[in-house]
Amino acid sequence: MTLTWSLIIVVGALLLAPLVGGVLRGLDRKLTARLQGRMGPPLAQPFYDFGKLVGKSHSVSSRASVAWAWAYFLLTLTAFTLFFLGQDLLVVFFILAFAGGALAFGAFSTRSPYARLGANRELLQMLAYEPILLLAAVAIYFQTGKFTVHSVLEAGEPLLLYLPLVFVAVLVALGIKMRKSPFDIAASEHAHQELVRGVYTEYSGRHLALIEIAHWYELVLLLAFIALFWAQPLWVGVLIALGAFFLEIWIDNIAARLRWSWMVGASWGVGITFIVANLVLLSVLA
Amino acid sequence: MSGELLVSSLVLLPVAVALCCLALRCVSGQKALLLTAMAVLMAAAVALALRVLSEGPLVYSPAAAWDNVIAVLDYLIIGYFLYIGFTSRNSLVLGFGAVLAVLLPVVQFGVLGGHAVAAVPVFHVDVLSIIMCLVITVVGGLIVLYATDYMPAHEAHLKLERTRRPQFFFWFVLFLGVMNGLVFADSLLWLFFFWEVTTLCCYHLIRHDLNEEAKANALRALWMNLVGSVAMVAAIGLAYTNVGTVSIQELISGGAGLVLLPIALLCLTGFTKAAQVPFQSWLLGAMVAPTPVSALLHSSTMVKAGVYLVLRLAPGYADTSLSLLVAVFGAFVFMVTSLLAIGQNISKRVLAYSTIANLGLIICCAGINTDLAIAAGIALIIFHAVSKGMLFMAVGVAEQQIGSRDIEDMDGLAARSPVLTIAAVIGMLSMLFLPFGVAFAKWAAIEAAGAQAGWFIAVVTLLAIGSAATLVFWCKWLGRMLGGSAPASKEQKPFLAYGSVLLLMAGAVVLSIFVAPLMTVLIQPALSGMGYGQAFDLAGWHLSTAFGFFPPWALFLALAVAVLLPALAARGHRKELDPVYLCGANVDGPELRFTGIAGEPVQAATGGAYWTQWFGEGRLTPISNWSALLLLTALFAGVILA
Repeated sequence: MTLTWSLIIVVGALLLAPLVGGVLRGLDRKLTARLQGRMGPPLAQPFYDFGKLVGKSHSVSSRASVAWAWAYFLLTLTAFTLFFLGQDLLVVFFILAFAGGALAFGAFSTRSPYARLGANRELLQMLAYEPILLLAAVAIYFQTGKFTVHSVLEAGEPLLLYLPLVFVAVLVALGIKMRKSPFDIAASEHAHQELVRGVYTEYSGRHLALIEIAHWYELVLLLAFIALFWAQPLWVGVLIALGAFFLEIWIDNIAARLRWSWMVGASWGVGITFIVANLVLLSVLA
Repeated sequence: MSGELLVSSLVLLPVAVALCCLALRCVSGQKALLLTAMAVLMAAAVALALRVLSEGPLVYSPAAAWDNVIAVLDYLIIGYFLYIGFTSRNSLVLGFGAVLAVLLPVVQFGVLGGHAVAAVPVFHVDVLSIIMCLVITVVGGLIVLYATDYMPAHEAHLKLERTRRPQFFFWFVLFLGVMNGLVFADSLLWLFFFWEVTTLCCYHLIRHDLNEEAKANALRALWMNLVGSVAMVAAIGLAYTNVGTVSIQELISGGAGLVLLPIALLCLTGFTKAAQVPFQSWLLGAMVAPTPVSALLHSSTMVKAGVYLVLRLAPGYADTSLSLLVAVFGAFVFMVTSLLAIGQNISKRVLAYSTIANLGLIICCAGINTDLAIAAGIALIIFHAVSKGMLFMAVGVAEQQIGSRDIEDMDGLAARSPVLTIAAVIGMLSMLFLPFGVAFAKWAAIEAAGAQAGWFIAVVTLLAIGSAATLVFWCKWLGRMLGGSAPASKEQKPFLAYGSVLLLMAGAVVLSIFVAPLMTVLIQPALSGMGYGQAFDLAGWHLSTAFGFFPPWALFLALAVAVLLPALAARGHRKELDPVYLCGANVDGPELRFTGIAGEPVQAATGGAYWTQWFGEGRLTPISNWSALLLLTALFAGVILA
């Protein structure tokens, strides 16, 4: 692929991702409402909300937390760009971890007990999903001989055929990364719970909007990673990623928030065991 | 200056300076002497580096009489250890000392027969030795300068009647010379001598404050290191009986089979020095010493000798089951100590666990034993020394400022000591995230282990879990320092202490940005010196392998935009800050209070999270120790049965 083409892809992805992410969030809210027997907001509601947040006057309780919110957004963008440039997956995940760290640091920078509680839980979420993502990249190496996104696109056969258990593990990580029940422990969807809004408690106005748009980028990045499991042809992978997205929403609506120790236990117990089993099977059968 | 003279002066100059320190009591005199001495030492190290890089490895033996001198000194030191064991009624020190006292003459006179030794060169200075020497003199040297500021304040705090700084600087500076000797040595007998002197220096530095805890912990460090010494003497005997040499270079090129048992014993020696589980308690206990000692032990000396030895021997056990077991052992230690660090609230203890974890990672790299893994291991030695030395010094300053080493008391350090906190935050980020050097080494280690496939699936799994655990303990400590209220007093900035911290911080960042030239100039030549191939293609100063790609400077550009720019912009933000949400009307004032039931003001506070029911030492240490013992048993069983 030429340099021009990869630049076009990256710029295109950077421009389209907020649109796609916003629409997906709209679908999420619509579907969740229907599952709960409500009408739900219009599909474009996330964009209306975004515009409203940007226009509102904002309150700042710590200068550092504003800087870290920007860092979260820009580091997510960095990871996103690296991914769509077809770069090393481990590097992408390490940078994504830095972004997650920045979100936690932003919450730690305030004196708010709710934000800090949320920040500690955000770290526990990272403890739960980070090994899965790193090992998934290793699993992709086992199949393609490289750690890069590029190698997956050039591979002859879909990964899913060889890495089904890894795929299941990645779904667990997706649930945690999407902050969906039963893994929504760092911030509750509704503000009237014990956590208030966890890591987001002290953000308002345009800073909250910034975090929201970073989430959209993150969502598109993760779904794109899932699409890699069937990249021959890629549209099948996109359908699989959408299926995974709706599966998470469905699980979100039938599950309740659980304890963090359960979350770490479940994601390590299922995720790591599945990936290792898959790798061992590949080694034995090869 | 000739290479031989440089080698001798890098070992002997610190010894001479150490002796001068014994006679020097005034603070300014100590500063003047040590500033000059460290500058000379660093210059000598750089000169030797240039010499070895341009003309190849330097092989050098001092006059044969020196062999007798160190032989006599060996027995004097062992005698002194026995004396310590006897007077302190410590049966472990006494026991291992006695074994050593019996075993050493048996090996020296029985097995070696005294004469065969002369055939072996004493020093073999290659690029790996040079890298170690630079780490020792530059990082160690800066820590010495830091100590000249730290120790007077430390003694003022203890209200000593008579200063003990002369003794302190004697052992401290001596350490640097002995470490240089240790990394230059090729003869196992000389290596053993330097090894014993580091144990001796370490013992005296840990017990420096002379309280009961310090004395007890120094004795523990002593006996655990004596276990390693016993293993080393046994290894010397076996190496000579099996392959007829006491040269490290000949041992690692001596072919498989017979050399594996002595090499495995030497690895065990390395594990004890590097405080690997189950020997971790000596390094954890060593934190009772004044902070410069911890900085020195953790970054550039002592524990680095352990990993240096394991890495130095790596070509000798490449492609054996020993190599796999070393990798599994290292990765296991990396994982458990990272998990253990989550449960700790004492800052120096978190740093200590993180050190043991990183040393485990270096050992794991040696065990993975590919070009990429060895490059990662050497890079980690450098980056860890810089970042960890800096973090210990920063914590030491913080301890003197807030009077506590508890992370809970560091709440809002950012408001009290902004310069120090920014340095500490950058130091922690450099231990933790890409594109900084330590994380780069972790990235390379995971890719190298993954690329080995087969049984290395176990290694990569342990590394992935450990890597996630490091995120948690660093981030929550880092976060703890960030949020804060108005400063109570102005930040005191002692020049040499702050200067050393900031210099090393800058070093951590600059070395990380320029990791590609670092590879070209030092690490790749070290690899070829050890018989490995080139790990990276460095075109465009990107680091690419056959299966991965890491663009350091491009990522640093992104980081500058993503983190530095918002931070600078936020400094300019002058809008009035709003109070935080407390689920009740806030009470005005600097304190964090809200109006509770019946209009009573309620204090809001958040503690740190340590989750000790999961990650506490009570829960994890016994399992870790037994598992590590099992792995070590497997390691030796594998070598003996193979």
